[in-house]
Amino acid sequence: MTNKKRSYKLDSFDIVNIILLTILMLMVLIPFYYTIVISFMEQQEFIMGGFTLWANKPTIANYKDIVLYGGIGKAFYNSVVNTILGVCFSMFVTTTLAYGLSKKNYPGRTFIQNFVIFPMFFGGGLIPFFLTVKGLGLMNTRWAVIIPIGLSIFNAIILRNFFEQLPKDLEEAAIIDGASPLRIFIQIHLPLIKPALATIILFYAVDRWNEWFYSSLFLGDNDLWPMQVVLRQILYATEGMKKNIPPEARRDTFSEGIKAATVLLTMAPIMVVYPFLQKYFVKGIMIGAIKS
Amino acid sequence: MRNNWLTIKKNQHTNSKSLRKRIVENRWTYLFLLPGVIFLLLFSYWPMYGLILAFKEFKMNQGIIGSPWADPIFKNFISIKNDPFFWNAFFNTFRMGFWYILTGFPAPIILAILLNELRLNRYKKALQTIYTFPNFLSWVIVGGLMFNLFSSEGLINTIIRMFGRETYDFLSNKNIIRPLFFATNVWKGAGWGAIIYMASIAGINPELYEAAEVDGANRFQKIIYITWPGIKATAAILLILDFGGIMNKGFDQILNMSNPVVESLVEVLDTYIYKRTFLSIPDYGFSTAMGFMKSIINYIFLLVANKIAKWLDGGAVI
Repeated sequence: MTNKKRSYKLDSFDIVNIILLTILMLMVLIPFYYTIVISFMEQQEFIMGGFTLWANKPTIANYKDIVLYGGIGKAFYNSVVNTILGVCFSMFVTTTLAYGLSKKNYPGRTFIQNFVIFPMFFGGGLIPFFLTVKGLGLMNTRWAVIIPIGLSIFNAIILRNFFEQLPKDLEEAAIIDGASPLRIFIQIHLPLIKPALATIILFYAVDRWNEWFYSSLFLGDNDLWPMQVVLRQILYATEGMKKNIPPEARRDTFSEGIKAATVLLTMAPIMVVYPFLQKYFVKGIMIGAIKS
Repeated sequence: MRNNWLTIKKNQHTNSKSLRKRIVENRWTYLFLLPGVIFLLLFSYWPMYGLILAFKEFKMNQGIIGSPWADPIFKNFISIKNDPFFWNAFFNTFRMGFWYILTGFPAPIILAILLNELRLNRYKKALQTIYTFPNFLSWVIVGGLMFNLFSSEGLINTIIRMFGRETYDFLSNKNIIRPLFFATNVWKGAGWGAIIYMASIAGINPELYEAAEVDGANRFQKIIYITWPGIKATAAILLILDFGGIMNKGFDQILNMSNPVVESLVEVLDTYIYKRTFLSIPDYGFSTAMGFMKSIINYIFLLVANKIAKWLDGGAVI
């Protein structure tokens, strides 16, 4: 309805609307912008406290400090590994469960469906969950933040709906050709729902990258901490990092600048990937919406 | 009589045989279900069983099963009854949840309608990308970003100081902290929430708008009489589901944006249970009892919300 009239004259409604939406855009962007400015600032300038649009003498010292003394390299590695392993595990459990759920006419189907859906409504809560993970000996291992939180039932149900919509005759033809159910699953059915899989993979990946709560609960060992936990540590206790800095370099580390730099480094992967994959994310909320 | 008995026996026999046959025929289905079922048994159902801890006196070295029963059996619940901090968190959960919904629900609708009215298509796309982005950041990051904005040395105070006015410490101000939480929650989620409404607006029959134009309707009238009725049903269902989750709001945000000064104002059950268990001397039985109460009330909310939503939607909700 808008495309038809390219030469449409902007009326006062349009102008107010454009101004309003632009202000909202600035409100979204300013926290990012200001954090970027601080991350390139020197302590001197920050303490002076004047309002500036850009750092007077831009410096990468804050980034250098965090990379050299903040243990960010190891944290980045942990985040990447947790995300990759986490997505692999999650996709394995989610797709197999969804595929099984999409089948009809097997004995106990209603029971299994209810068995899967019930935990979406009721759970044991934090403490029994914590004790379970501990009891399984997963504490202080990477697997604690990969396996116990690996399945989103919601995602499994979305994928089940996709499997259910696939035409039946494909499977029948493959069975006649002598293909095993596993081959039918991997070579015929999975490729047919690729776009849905891409979206679910993306959601899991963002979740795993952003994971901080269970990491701080289950991983006492600093060597296993992902970016988010290290960032939290730096945000709330810069002193914790300062002790890693050798005295001769301790000069004028600028804690606000270091915090800002770490925030930006932690969100960088999502920022880089997001604009290119936005359409998959958007598709995600739509497929979720159809059934929820 | 005897005959009857025989036929029943016979039927049972054929039934069980066919059942076994059907199980064997579907063995692959069970195999596919197996990893998920094991996962749920371990990480959903076993912790549910662990709720019996609420009635026990937990001993670390004896585990969930070995720990002795509490004496009296409701001992942990009596402790809850006498804990004023629990009740503060309990009522605050609903108060905060209510305001999270009251602010978080309309924002995406308004944003979607405004965006839909924007006729510059490229700008619209760019705006949408920018608005949705914060949704994909963790509250750790958003907390860091907001600190730079609202702390005593933050951007807003720098500007206030420039005008020679007195500065606020927004993050430790008891009157400001709650609205600030709701506002930053909208900041993070409104753009993403708007997408679903944009899609449902796109599904409105364009002929309705054309007919309205012929009748001389202005833009406001079109919004009120065509766009809003077109998304009303979606909005109603999302609102109901939102209320279903009222007890689960804010956990990540609160743990990342509050501080000891304002803590009690933004405490909810989830954060209180977490702090009592992991940031002080733990009493697992007591904590589990609190979790148990939360789980049951939350279950009722979710169930009722889902029933209503299903009824509104004619059965499309899970």
